[in-house]
Amino acid sequence: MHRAAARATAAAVAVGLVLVVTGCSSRVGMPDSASARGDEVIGLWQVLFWTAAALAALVLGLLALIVVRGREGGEGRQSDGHVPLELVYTGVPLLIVAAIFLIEVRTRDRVDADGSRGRPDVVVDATAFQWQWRFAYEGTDVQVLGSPGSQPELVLPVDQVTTIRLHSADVIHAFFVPGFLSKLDVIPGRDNRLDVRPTRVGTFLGHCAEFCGLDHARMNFTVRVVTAEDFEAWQRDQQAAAA
Amino acid sequence: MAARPAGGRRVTTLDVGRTIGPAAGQHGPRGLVAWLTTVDHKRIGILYCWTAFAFFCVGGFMASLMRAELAEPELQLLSTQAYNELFTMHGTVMMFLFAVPMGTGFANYLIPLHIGAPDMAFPRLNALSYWLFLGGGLVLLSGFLTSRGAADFGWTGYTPLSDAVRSPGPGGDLWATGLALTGIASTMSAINFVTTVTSLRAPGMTMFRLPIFVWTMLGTSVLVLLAFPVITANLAMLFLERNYGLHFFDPAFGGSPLLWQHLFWFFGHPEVYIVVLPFFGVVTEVLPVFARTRLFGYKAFVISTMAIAAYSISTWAHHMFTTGAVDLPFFTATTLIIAVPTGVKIFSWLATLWGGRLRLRTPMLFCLGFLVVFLIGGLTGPMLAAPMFDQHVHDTYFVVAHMHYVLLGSAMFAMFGGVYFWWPKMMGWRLGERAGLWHFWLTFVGFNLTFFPQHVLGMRGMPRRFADYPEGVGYDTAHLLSSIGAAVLVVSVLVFLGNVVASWRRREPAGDDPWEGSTLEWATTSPPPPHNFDWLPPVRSERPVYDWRRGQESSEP
Amino acid sequence: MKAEWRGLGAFAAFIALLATIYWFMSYERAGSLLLATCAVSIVIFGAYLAGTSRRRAPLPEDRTDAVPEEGAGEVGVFAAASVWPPVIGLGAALAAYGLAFSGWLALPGMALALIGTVAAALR
Repeated sequence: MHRAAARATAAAVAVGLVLVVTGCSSRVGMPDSASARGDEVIGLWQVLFWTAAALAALVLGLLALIVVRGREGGEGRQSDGHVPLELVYTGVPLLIVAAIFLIEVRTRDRVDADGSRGRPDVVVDATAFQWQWRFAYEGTDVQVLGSPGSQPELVLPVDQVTTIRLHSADVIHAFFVPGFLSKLDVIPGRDNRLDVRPTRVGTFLGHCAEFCGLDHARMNFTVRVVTAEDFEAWQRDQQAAAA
Repeated sequence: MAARPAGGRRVTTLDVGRTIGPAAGQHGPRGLVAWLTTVDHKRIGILYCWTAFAFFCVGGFMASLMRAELAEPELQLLSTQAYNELFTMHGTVMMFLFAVPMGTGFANYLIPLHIGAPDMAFPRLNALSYWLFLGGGLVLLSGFLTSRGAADFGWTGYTPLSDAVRSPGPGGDLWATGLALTGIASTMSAINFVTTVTSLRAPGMTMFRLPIFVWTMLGTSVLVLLAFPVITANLAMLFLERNYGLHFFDPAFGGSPLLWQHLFWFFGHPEVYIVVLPFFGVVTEVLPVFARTRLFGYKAFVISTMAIAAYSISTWAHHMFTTGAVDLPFFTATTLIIAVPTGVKIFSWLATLWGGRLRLRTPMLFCLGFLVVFLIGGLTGPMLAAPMFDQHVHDTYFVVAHMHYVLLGSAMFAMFGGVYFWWPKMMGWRLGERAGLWHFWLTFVGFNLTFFPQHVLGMRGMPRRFADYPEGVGYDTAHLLSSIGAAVLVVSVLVFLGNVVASWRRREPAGDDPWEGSTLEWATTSPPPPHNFDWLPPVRSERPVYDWRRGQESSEP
Repeated sequence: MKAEWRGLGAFAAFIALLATIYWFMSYERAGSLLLATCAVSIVIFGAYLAGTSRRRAPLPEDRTDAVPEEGAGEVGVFAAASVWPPVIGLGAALAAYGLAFSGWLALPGMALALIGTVAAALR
């Protein structure tokens, strides 16, 4: 009865894995990337996921074999170790993690090299406070201020580099846009900067991702990525309205 | 041990074949008073386990409320303030009042039995650590009774949110003082464990013949001794800042909010290994007995345990990858390296099972379940070690999924495995197998249904510690599935409690060695006498009772 | 005793190495100091064990050929039961509780804990 159940579980797990994998497309669960950095993150994730899936299949497969073959009754194998095997299952994971380390470092180097560091096209000062955001565009009078019931919208031009300077008026917050696949903490007394190069037009949800008190869950915002012309038109309108 | 107290018991280590009872003077207190004044490690262990289980139910109740709230978008059952207090206290209760004390309870009960000693090195200190744990836990929870409520700034207590300006009221202070007490309790236990293992082993019980459970408790104890002073200092600093106007963490006065994080996580990362290592030990004891094999690579188990303990001290700032203030390559490397000894353990467990003749009883099922869930949790760990990936999923439900897979996966599955395994020894009667089967499958299904969808939830962007979430952005289905899973988990715990009650009614005697175990606790009665052993077999390997039984069988005509 | 202090020695050396690497990679003071003091703590513990083990002959528990008879005889006197741990625990809990509200409220608890500690030590 236990064996049948064990076999059923093994089958269910296998089916589940297949469904998870095929049903989720090549992004395997990640959102569609809307930034240059995000594209790299998805690439890294695919490596991480498939490595993990292979290891999981190996271990779960061995476990299923053990359960199915190990019928009850009598003594089991009385081995107290086998050094070559132990060295293999120490060495192979070591190689795998070394590979992951290298891939991560290379991915990060590529992201840093891309995106004109120090020469952004747009600079936004994002101030987080309990429990809203204010976005101010440097060099203009344009400001977007959120309020309860009115989510602030950050407008950015596509294919240009924006530096978002993060300031906190009180506690630690975090600026997180799932579509950009990265986040950065907003820490009082610390100068954090997030560089982003959006790669497609659209509207993306943003969250505060560091618990900051009562209405932490109500500090959502949106990022609307538009073409360069639309961005300039929008800025002109905002400037006029502010005057 | 200067003067000989009146009414004390004189304890002797005993010769093979000769039974010597305890000295005169056993007219101790009875009943409730006996439990209140006990210094017997077995009773203290049982007190620890039951109290930790009670806190588990408290923490689990809090989680059920939260999952009920999050099943659908829009706030229904709880106010935001209530939700924030709940997740804060849920984390605190589960980490400090359930997971660590449950391991301590097992350790208290088993270590002297495993090494052939009559008790711990410092029995009264042992009792004191229990009462400090209970007292500290009650102080922590008393925050709920105050007008501003319990602490509500997350179990990680980040500053400046946790300072007096942003989180006024005694709830936060009760959190700090209560936690400090439980930390002192853990430190006392660690001192006891290390001293006992170093000085009270039976003859022939060399360090490399110790049961692996004892090794894992040694590693755990060293980590406790190194890590708890750091959190205690951090809590003291927070308390002083909240109440006496100091400015360790306030940037306006030259302090640093990040200082809290460094100190917290320098403790916090070893803390999670303090949670899991005892449970690794439990699993390592159960698997060979139910597979009827020998432990594969004893030395590898010892070295990987100690390596995990040592490496865990170097990985702390992987919790701070999104601060922009952390040396990424150093912590990526140290965090990835710790996957290696962990992988060695998993392969060693598999190798122990390989070629085994498996008896799929409840303790074994739970330990096999542990292998599955810990594997999944262990595989998402190296993913989180890569900052490029972590900076997307940090502070989202992906991390919640990972930590519950590794922490609750080990604490729940290995705990129940150990409970079903050692219950006959502790109580003298068995827990029902049929109900145990139901218990296991409900737990396994419920656990995976609750936490697997949370990986996807996190990747899509759902942050942690959100009392509510926007509708229709892709979070709804996963939340609903997760909440259904939580309901199944609640049922599984009720089945366990029902099993306990029904089995207690039957009380079928278990005998000294119902499972044909290998280690010394199976050489004595169930439950053991106050001085543990009337007789000890010679210790020639890590499985003295197995050797003795084999010797008896081969010497029979 | 040998296995213990050697293991601790390796542990301390490892942490000290990490502390050095970490300092030169990051110049981050909190973490470097924590790692360094960690290594020192382990050395203190290991040194005690090393010193003790030098002064004694190998104990029965460290010899692979020892038999249970060698450990026979009185291990020590263990108290049968004691009311002082719960008393100290109660005092400490009351002190922790009171401290969260005001320094003065902590005093009765502290007094109780102190009384319990002294009583326990005198037994």
